[in-house]
Amino acid sequence: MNEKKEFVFALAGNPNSGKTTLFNELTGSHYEVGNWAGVTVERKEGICKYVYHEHASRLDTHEHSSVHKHGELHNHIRIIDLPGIYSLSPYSAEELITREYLMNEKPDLILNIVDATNLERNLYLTTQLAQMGIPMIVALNMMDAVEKSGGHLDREKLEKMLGVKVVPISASKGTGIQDLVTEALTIASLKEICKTYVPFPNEIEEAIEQIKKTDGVSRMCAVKLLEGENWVQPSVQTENLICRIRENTKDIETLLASRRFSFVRKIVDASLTGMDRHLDELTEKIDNVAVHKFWSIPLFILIMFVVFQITFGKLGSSLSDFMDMLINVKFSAAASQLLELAGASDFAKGLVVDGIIAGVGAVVTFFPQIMLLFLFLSFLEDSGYMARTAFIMDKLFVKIGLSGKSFVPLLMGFGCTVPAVMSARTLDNEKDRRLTVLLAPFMSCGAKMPVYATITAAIFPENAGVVIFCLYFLGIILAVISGNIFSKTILKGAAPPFILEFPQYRMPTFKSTFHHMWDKAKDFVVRAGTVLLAASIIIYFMQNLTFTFSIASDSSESMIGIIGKLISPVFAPCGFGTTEAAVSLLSGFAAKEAVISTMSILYGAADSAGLVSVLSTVLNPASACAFLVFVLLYVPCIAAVSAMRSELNSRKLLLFSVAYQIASAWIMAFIVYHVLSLFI
Amino acid sequence: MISLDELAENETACIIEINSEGKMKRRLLDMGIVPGTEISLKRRAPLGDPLEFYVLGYRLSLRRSDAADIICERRCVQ
Repeated sequence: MNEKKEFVFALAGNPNSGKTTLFNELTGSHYEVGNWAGVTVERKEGICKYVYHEHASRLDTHEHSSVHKHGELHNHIRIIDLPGIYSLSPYSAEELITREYLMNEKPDLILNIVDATNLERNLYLTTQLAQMGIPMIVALNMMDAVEKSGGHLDREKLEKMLGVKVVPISASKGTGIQDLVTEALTIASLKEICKTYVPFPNEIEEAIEQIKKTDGVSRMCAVKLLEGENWVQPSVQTENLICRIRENTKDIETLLASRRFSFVRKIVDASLTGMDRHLDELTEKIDNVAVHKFWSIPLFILIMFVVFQITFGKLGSSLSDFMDMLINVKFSAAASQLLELAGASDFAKGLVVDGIIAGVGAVVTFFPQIMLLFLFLSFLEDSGYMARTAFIMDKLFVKIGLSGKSFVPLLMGFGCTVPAVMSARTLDNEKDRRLTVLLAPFMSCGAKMPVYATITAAIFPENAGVVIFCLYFLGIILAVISGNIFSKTILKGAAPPFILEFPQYRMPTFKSTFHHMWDKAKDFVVRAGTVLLAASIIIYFMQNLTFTFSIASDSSESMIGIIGKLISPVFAPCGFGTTEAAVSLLSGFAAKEAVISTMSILYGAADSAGLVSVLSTVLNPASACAFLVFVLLYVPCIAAVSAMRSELNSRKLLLFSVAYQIASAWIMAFIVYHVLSLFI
Repeated sequence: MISLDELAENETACIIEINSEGKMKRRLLDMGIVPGTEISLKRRAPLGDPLEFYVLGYRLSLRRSDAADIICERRCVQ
């Protein structure tokens, strides 16, 4: 073990088996996140913080708190987190990744995590992984839960029958990990191939041997060729053999799957004793309410209400106000003082204070709320409740060509379109993902709220609540209509299948929930420093420079002013064909709340009360409604569009979405303006 | 012989045949829906669809239309 070598361990296992927890434990949560080539499935890899110690006896059960220190490292272990899977057959894009990775990249070891409370289904995958011709070790997770319910596992028997080394661990408590890594390193350096052997009927065994010989593939690959999955292109000879076997054997897929399960069942029956095979009581008790015929829906609404109330209510908004004060008042003032001391020109000062700080700050202000929303959603997801909401809502979602799994991403759209679009990642298939992303902008996001609040205060002070509620409702209705249209035209196909495992309820640890939240929110922070920063600078330049790049003395001479004048006739048929409206809508591309701040600059209003009184003179009820509808429906902000771009993974669809949003916004605004003009 | 969606709540049956097709069938097989496996219907969703089953020690949710393709037998002969 003295030679320095980098080992690559691939972490594989069923969803909900504690894979992410083990990954975080192994890497100490220091890892890089990227995408797998060609797809938007997240790829995580990190360096294992546990190292092999010469003095660590194999039988030593003592936990070594070995921390990765530079210079004294014996062996680098790179851990690759493979997507959670049930089998090696490509059902979704994610499962394909795992198979392709194992076949092409040949890691030094497969670290297979197995949920001991659900041995049969987990070991089914183990038998498949073990036949890939790669050294492997099984990390038997949640053994503590099995022992708690009176179960006893004969580890030696399990290892012998399965043909793979097994190490019991508890990923959440972090026990057994050092042993696991030590054993894994031994296996990887000896290149021990597993002895797992699932016996199939004679005729099939002969065919497997034949294929292995002629095509030089692993046993697993040969079996899958017989099952009709072309993992590799078979030779002509093999192709004929496969045809013959498939003709002679009725329903070979079912036959082989049954054989695998009976092999696994034999192992479980022999090695696991005294285990109460009943459902765990806690989950049963919670589910009796959580998915109850009558109580589930009220409970669900209550939970969502509480989440939104805390996130967007007093707590969330006071945190945001605090951030607003910190950045847009304190920091902004300090920066302008500093720039003044440094003798910066007015333009440079303006760029930093009114451009960058105001622009990026407008969004950074929402960070506390976004973090809170993600914290709650991560908690609900990690606890196991999210799977139940998909179950409750599925029937309604089938009607618009989606599955219940899209419910949560769309719900998040009421907070912010960016996380909504990003969380569509969790959906199984591409069509489902894309349709969800296309519909997310119809959920009126939180940043539009200031626009609604200001305009309704100006025009409908008595009925502000009703008008705003109607806007949200209109968004939902249009999402349903659009979903119906999209799923029958550009994103054809039946409603996505719904095969969902209900995980057991677990109390997520603070650490894991926080991690999960940060994983999701991180992108948002990065985006603020990149896309939003650039957009703010560009908009500031356009607001203050003329097309000849001299400083504009009047906003109507600036690039934005001229563009606004050019495009304002477009909005005339909708009732708000003023330069101010056009320019503020344009600035809304950067951030929706910018619509209001731009208006207040253009109208020269000192504060929000001033803006309200100006607006009440320039808009009438019909044009105000049309304007609100336009704000509700037109293209989401640049942050959301860039999130959509990476999740849709198709320029064509993105352009379609932008065009569709603008067109539907214009048409709806036109209709609203003319219909209301008749009545009011 | 009945199909899986015809089970009453808390009724247990034995899987006989899977008539689903393509990827759906592959997935069901990989999730442990194979002939001879015991399965019981836990409950129906509040709106009547999908269904929640208990199989191999875990909970699995399927739509009624997909469950209808799975044939089972009420009395399980071990």
